[in-house]
Amino acid sequence: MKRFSIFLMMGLVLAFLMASCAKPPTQEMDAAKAAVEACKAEGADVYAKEEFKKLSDDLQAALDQVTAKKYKEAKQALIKIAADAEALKATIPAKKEEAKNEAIAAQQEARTAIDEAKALLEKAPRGKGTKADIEALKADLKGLEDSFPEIQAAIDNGDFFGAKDKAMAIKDKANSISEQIKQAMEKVKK
Amino acid sequence: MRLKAGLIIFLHLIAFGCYKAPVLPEAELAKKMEQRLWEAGAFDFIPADYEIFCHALRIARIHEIQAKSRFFLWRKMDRVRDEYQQLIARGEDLLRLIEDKKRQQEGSLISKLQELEIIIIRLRAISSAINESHEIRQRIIKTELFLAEAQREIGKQRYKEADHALFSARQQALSARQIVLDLFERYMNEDYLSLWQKMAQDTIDQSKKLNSPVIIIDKLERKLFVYSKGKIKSAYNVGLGRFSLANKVHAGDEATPEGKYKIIKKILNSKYYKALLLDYPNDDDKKRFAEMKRKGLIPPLIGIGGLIEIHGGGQDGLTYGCIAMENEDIDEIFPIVEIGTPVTIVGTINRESVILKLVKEL
Repeated sequence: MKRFSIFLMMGLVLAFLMASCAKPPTQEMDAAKAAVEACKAEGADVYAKEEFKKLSDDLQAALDQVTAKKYKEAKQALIKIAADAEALKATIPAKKEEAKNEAIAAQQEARTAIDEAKALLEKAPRGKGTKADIEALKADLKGLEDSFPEIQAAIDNGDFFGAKDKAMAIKDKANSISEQIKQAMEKVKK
Repeated sequence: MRLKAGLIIFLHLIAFGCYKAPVLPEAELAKKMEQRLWEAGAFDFIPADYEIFCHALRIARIHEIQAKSRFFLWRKMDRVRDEYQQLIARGEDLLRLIEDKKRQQEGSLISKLQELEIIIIRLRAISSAINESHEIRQRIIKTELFLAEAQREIGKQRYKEADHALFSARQQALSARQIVLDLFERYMNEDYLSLWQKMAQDTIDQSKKLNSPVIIIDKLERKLFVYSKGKIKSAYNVGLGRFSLANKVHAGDEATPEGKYKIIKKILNSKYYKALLLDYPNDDDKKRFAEMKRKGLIPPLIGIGGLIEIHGGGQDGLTYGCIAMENEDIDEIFPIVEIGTPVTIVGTINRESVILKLVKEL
């Protein structure tokens, strides 16, 4: 009985020592937090929304483990998170570049659509039945021209998705003006 | 023997104590619920509630970890399960709340969008009717671009961005509306409407008295009326200048004068087919011009202008202040008017004008 009590005591002392000697993985915590922050600063929350959300959740789960004093598991998780964040961060410039290229392509399409409408307007006969229409369409095109620099401004601000949307709206409008010019020209033919 | 039994019990306790508790299905569901909330846009629509939910989820997770790390006999997983179940139920409520908020916001954005679309339709109709389109049309186009942007954002459920685009659209639409209201200020003023009606009536009465034709031109309606013996004989569509709603003040303003004039020359071979030259500027015009010049409202080198005609060439032509008719129409009136035939040009005599109605509805 005496020996049994000794074994039991030793086991408890050992367990207590193991628990009380462990320290929170502060270094890993700081590194993981910094890596996730850097990832966000690179634009992961915009260009890789889902992946960044998962990363943030993993970080929170690891921090919860620290709170629950599960330092060993937390440490492993934090090391993995830091590495994942680095890996995700590395993919962002390519994603950004892709979005930028799409915005620039949309901007060029909008430019082409405006130029086409302008060329059509130049060709349109300014005669009976069209002069007022053409004047009005000219004003419409001027409105588009005035709005066109907003695409570049959005690109310069890094708002590539916004720039693309703006460009698409301008392109659609320019195409619709081209259609109206064609209709005005048809009116003259008749 | 006792030592052996003690050791066996001790080893069993260690084995069960270290036994890793299974993953709770409720924990997985709660985590999925958080993901669903995030995907539904909880951060944007119910930020405070979402924050509370996430905090509660973290607490539950910590409780789970703590419970799992306890000696198996003291693990109270039911409590943790309850916590997660409560969170899942709360999440369902929050998802419904988000949907309600989305419906509300989308409804309000769509009604704002439709309101602006109606303003744009009216502005377009007005600008097409009056040809004074440049500033108005440019703003209409800009408004339409913002509306397209707003529509796209609504489709993506990005309501904040949609609201921002609608705000910009509204700014542009309001500025176009203001230009229209400024242009129509006199046309909405009872004093002017009465004055123009009186001028037209005097001219009609004159036709009765003199037993001769007279011409009345309604600038807003773009109509030329021929009256004879006090009765309307014919009406024609006419074209005017880009700034025809304004009263002509000086050369180059592209406005059509308002007042009582008469034909001073009939031109058979005009640049615009046939033309009837009016005696603009009359005494009233000269007086007004001199007064404005004295007040410095007209630059010193600018003259009063002249050569205001009723001419052919097509009513669609944009003039510099003249009144343009279809050739076949001027052919009709040319023989019935003479030198001295009165021509009264007014803003409008039609108080019920569709354009005025549209302006009032803006």
